[in-house]
Amino acid sequence: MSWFTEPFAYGFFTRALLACLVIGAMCGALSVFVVLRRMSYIGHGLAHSVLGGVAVGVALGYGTYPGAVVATLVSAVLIDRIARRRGLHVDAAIGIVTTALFAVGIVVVSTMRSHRVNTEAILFGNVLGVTSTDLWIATACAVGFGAVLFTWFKPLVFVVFDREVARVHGIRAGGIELLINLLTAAVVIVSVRVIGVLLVAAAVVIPGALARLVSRSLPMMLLIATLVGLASSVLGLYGSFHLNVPSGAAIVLVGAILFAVVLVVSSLAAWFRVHRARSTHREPPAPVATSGSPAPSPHQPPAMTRTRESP
Amino acid sequence: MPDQRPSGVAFHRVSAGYGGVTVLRDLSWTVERGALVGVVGPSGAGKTTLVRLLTGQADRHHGRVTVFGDEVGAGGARRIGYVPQLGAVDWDFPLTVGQAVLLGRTPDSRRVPWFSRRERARAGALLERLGLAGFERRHIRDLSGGQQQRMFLARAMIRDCDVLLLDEPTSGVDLATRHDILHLLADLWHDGLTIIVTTHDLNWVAAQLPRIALLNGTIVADGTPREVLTPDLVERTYGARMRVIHDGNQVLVTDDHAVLGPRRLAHRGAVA
Ligand SMILES: Nc1ncnc2c1ncn2[C@@H]1O[C@H](COP(=O)(O)OP(=O)(O)OP(=O)(O)O)[C@@H](O)[C@H]1O
Ligand SMILES: [Mg+2]
Repeated sequence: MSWFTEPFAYGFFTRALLACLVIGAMCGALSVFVVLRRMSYIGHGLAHSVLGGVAVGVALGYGTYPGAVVATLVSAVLIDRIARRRGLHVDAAIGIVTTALFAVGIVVVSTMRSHRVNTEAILFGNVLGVTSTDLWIATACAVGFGAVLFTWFKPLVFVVFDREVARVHGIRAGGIELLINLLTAAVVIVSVRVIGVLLVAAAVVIPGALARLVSRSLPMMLLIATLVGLASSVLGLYGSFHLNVPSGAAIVLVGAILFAVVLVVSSLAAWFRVHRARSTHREPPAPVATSGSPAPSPHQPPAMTRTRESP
Repeated sequence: MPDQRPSGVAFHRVSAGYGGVTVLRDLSWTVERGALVGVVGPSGAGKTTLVRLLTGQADRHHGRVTVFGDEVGAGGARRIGYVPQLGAVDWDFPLTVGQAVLLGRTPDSRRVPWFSRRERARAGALLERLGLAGFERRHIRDLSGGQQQRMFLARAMIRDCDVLLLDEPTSGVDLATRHDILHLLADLWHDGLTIIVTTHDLNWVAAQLPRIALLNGTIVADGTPREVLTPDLVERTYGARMRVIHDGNQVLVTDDHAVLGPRRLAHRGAVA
């Protein structure tokens, strides 16, 4: 059991664990909507623009969050605007906006080497760096996230399921979509400290994808995804501590392993179901021929094929 | 002199389309309150566009569209129930039939993640009326095409709408389901709903609906099937000469040049 208790000897660990719980749950719940909207790419994109924001923010001396917030807000809104132009889809919008901001970040980071922006921590996550401010911000974000989900659940589901009809029913679909993008942006920002820019994208996809494999009920999917998010972030944190690897990498790896296991198990289960169905419905024995003509076998080719073969 | 009859849905010299493309030109048409009317025309005639004009999804370039006297805005009219052409949604979406119907209630419902017992009872009653009793807890994927169509009809009706728009509700369903849908529409019509239904199935519409409008970029004709389905009007709408057969109360439109005539079928039969 010391594997579980040992890390608590270090002061930072409790804080990191709490942050992981909050972030894991949020990423998990959010991932259901990300997967259902088929916008797995958005986490990736927003996280990249975070890098730009953080780099500029740190370079100008404002710290991590203001830059990240401005950058993701700008990119969430720009994505929304560009995606509404006819003929351009949201993937193109994400590709343009967020990589541009990422490029800004790279330019700033490389021209300001003396500032010693900890690039590795931004890219891959660093639990050692979790301050109590980070924890408070993450918690506040989680409360807001929960409140939005609670209040807007029905319109959110309606718009994601059937945007057109939701609009006809008087729901402001554009507003709802912007809301989802902003929620995603918020979750990405608070997760970057622990999971890192490059890996947060996976954290907002894997739990939802796994839940979709095993459930066709939305409440159940939300529950499963939240639990998977929690489990992978906590297990990942322990892995990160014991193996001395970046926390983001460990968290995403745990999630990916869980996903792979569920994928294999559910595929096997499906195979067994089909197999059992086949073996219980055995072909009936061939009917006994009563007249002179032989009973047709069920595998006999249809008449059309035979006529084509014989000229 | 302005029209004094209670106006249901009114198009006044409307041009509409998508972006810069014009699909409907100079279209004026009135559907009175409580009417049941079919919109018929060839593929690309603008039937869906006409419906989308009322739901606020097509761009109106000129003219006025009103529903019960209110001008239709970008979000569509308030009192409309809309059953879109099938196939656009993700059928693996994690929803039960009951939940999918209840979503239609969203704007009028409390801002909590669940629906009240009364709302659920209402959905159950609607499903039962539409012949989907017992399907409430099934996944939406488990329904047949006709059942999915009726589920969306329930979603439209749970909104307390006065105008019901159905875009091709009978395409891709079998004869019996088509018959059921038609009966259902007749029922709803008798309840006082104003119903506009599009279809490309001339005979189905001609044989069954009390009133039809022929559409091809604009309304070509509007009246009872007997009045409207004449060889000339049909040709103006479809651009092809067809034969119209009157048989008692029935009207039947057929193609003069059968593509798969009896000769070809006989040929196939001879091979087999
Ligand atoms: N979103 C869109 N953007 C641009 N043009 C469109 C769009 N939707 C339809 N059109 C064009 O508008 C015209 C009319 O389309 P519409 O869907 O209204 O026809 P329809 O009568 O419903 O045909 P169908 O019987 O095939 O459903 C078509 O020429 C089509 O190419
Ligand atoms: Mg159409």
